[in-house]
Amino acid sequence: MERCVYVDLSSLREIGRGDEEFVRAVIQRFQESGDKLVPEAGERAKNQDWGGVAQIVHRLKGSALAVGAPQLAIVCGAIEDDLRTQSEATEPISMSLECLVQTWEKTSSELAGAA
Amino acid sequence: MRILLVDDDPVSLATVQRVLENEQHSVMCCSNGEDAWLALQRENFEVVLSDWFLPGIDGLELCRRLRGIGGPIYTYFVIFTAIEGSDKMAEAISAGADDFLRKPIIPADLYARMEIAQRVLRMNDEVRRKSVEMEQLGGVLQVSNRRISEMFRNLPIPVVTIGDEGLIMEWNSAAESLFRLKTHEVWMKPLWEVIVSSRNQRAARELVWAALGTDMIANESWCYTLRDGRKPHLMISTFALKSPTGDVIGSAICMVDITQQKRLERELKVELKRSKDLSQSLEVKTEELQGKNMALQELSEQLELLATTDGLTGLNNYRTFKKKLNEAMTQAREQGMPLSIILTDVDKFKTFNDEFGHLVGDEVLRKVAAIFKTKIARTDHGFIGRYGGEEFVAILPHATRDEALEFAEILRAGVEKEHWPWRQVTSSFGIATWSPELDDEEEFVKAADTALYHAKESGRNRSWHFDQLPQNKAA
Repeated sequence: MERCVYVDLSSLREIGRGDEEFVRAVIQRFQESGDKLVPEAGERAKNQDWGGVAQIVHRLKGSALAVGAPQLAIVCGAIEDDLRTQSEATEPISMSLECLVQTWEKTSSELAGAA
Repeated sequence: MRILLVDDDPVSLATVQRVLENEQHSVMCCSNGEDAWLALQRENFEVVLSDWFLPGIDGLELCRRLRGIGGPIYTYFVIFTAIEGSDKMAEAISAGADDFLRKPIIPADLYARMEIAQRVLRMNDEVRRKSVEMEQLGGVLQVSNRRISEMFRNLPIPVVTIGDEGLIMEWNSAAESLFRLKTHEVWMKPLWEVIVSSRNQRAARELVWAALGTDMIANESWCYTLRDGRKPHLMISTFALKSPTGDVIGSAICMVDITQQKRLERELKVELKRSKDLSQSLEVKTEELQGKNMALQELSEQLELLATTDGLTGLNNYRTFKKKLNEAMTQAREQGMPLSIILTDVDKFKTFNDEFGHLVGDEVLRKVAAIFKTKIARTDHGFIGRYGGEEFVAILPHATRDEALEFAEILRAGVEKEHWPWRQVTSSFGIATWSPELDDEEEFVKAADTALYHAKESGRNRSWHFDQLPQNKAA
């Protein structure tokens, strides 16, 4: 079975053109953002604010793609799609949000190691 | 380029800003639509790169607002989003965006898109520059058009332009005056329906098709009745109006009213004919007059002859003698030249008349005159005339006393030697030569007469000079 890629900083490094400080700063912003957004998504789900959840995962997906966190982007994109197609399916969304939390933790952990 | 980057995701904002700055673009970042809108109102950006989903004013709304305010400088607007769906691009473009990108932004893609943006903006600048030039040219053309239009309108000769179907396009003031129709009354109407009466439309139609079928018609005389009944004489010239590709798209028709000129020509022709007739008549009259003049001249000459000559002998008469003597004496006086006169008398003429009758007497006088005439003709400026009765007189300019005596002798011998059928005829001669003492005409003639008297007294048929008289000799 193919191993999931949580972090791939090659694009970010390419953009930084050897500027590791830039890479670290972006990763730090991403982590701060994720640390704030992932719990917020859980809270919104509890309040059945699906629109709010969709906004958060969309923004997190963008950040994940920008920094080089493909697995997190995939999970965010799946949740976004689910919310767009089945807004009343609370059960699957909660499962997905759990997956989101796990993916975020792994991603964050790998990023901490990489930075 | 000066770029406004808008994204609420700080990670995306940071990475895209870095990508753009790597290519030396100047980037201003905004994390929401409101700040971006304020920035756009404050300053000009060549490119806006905006995330679609933003809190408050989203990317599409930002684009719509920007397009709504317009402005002289075009801003290239790129929307990007992480959301999937093929309809998103069409929606963004429809809102006024120039380009659409999906996240994650791949640097090479963004560079390529910025290059396109730069190219489009350059083209846009060029278009704007051209547009300004076109606007200026348009202004120049407008002025030029107005001038040409004014010139056409105020041309002193009637000019009309027609399209390729013969419909009137332009009609100047002189045409309005000639045809008494305003431009709005004739515009887009067939020329033949406007300018002539219904009876002459065929001729006008032929003119239109001839004008459209050739490059030029020069000075064609044209005279047809107009709609209002007038019948002016027009001199028509046309030239083809062509498109840039050379196709005939109409014709300009110039019409010079030469009615007045034609009338004058007719009048002139009549006058010329009249003048010619008059001239011929004058010629006839002149010939008649010349004839009469010649007759008069002849008459005058005859009268002159009658006035100056003697009717019997044909010699000069006494009147002419007096005139000639006066001239000869004046010349002698002024030039100091000699002058002599001879007075002669046919001897015993009275007995001739008594014995043979007056007719024979007249014949004797004619013969004596003929002899004298022949002799005088051989002298230099000599004059012979009948003095009266049977007396004759000769004037001899330049003749001295002796020369005069010699000539008198010639005359005398001439008479004596002539054959006379009735009896011998002789003549006596008295001669005088001018001198200051004989400067009076009467005295001068009287001197010759005295000499003649002496010649007769001393036996007739001889010549005596005044200075040979005894009393003069003594003097």
